Amino acid sequence: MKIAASTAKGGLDDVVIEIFGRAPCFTIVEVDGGEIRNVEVVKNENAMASGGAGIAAAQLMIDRGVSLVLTGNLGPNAYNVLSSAGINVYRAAGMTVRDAINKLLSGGLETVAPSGGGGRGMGRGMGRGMGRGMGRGMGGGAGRGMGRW
Amino acid sequence: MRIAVASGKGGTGKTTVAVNLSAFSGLPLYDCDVEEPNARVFVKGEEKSKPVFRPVPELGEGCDLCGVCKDVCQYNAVVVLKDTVVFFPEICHSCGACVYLCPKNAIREVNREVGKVIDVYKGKKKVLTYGLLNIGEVSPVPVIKAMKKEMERDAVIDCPPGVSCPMVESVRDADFVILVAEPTPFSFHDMKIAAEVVKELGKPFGVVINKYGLPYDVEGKCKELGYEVVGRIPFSREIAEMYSKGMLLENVRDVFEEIYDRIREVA
Repeated sequence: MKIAASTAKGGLDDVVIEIFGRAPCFTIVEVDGGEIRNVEVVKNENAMASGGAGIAAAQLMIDRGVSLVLTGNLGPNAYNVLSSAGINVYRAAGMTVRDAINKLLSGGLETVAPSGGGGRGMGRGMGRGMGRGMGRGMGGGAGRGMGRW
Repeated sequence: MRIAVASGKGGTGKTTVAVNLSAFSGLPLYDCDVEEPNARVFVKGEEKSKPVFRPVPELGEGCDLCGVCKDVCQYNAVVVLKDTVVFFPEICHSCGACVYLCPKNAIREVNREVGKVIDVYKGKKKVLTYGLLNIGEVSPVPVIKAMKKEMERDAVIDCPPGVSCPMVESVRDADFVILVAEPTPFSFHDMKIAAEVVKELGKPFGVVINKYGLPYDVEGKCKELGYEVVGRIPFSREIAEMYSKGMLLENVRDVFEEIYDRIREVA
């Protein structure tokens, strides 16, 4: 499976950074049978976008077949896109990518809740855009839908 | 004749000039600072409002997840998931590219309310038109465009501060632009930028100096650059007090009448 960490320079020994949507790059690690098989550093072309950087970064994760994201904080848009795609997000900012992956595999990392508005902000803003297209599968609006699933 | 009142730096006195120029010249008043309209503090009456819409995409039938819509969107407002496509109307800029380019015609346009245009009446007479943008909307431009649809041939247009899209849209159809400056280096610096924008748009313009009498010689600097000064509103506590009470500046009515006369000579 592929695990992506938000990083500034990239690589297993780089530190996972606090931000997601505007992270300079992502370190994508392929893990198989508990072992690290491949490491790729992907530049975040949308880091300087005037808007929708989080959405674009989440789309990048989907396009690269990432199953898990290691980062610090995300806004509600990025969070909702990742959730809709079934991608879980774990808090690992401050650790090296290598340490974070090892902790993840031994169940030692916490999942991340979205920052800024959480359930209500997301439920309303996202519920309409995503709820209708997604809502049937996801439940009424992402914020509330999250609790349910 | 349409006279737009812009500035560059905010807080120099656009609304002061626009409201009083409209009152003493008789020209209709349009407040295009739709993110923060304040002419309505000075001009009150019965309000009639109409909603303003912009088109945003909605997924219809026949989508095959090809991703063209996501690829063409310049605003990151489209996400392609494994089994569906999701749009973000709050971030969408209504350019229409995704709708136009979808190979399966699977995207339709639906209206999203972005704000209102409000006409203010005293009895049967319309005394003000202002726009109001909904909180969280990405662009004031659709509301300003809607206001201009009903605009008479003559008007005074209170513009937003700055020199970005909403100011350009407010100034675009004017016959003359007043740039309001105050005697400070900050104001002069930003007014120069506004003057460049106005020149680029091919509009004649003139400067009104508000709070005239403060020490920085902005008038001298205007002369150096060949900017015409068409009016001077004195720096006065009495004026500030009247303004703070939402009153028209009757005591300096002649200043505004002179501005109107000067503009008609120069434009």
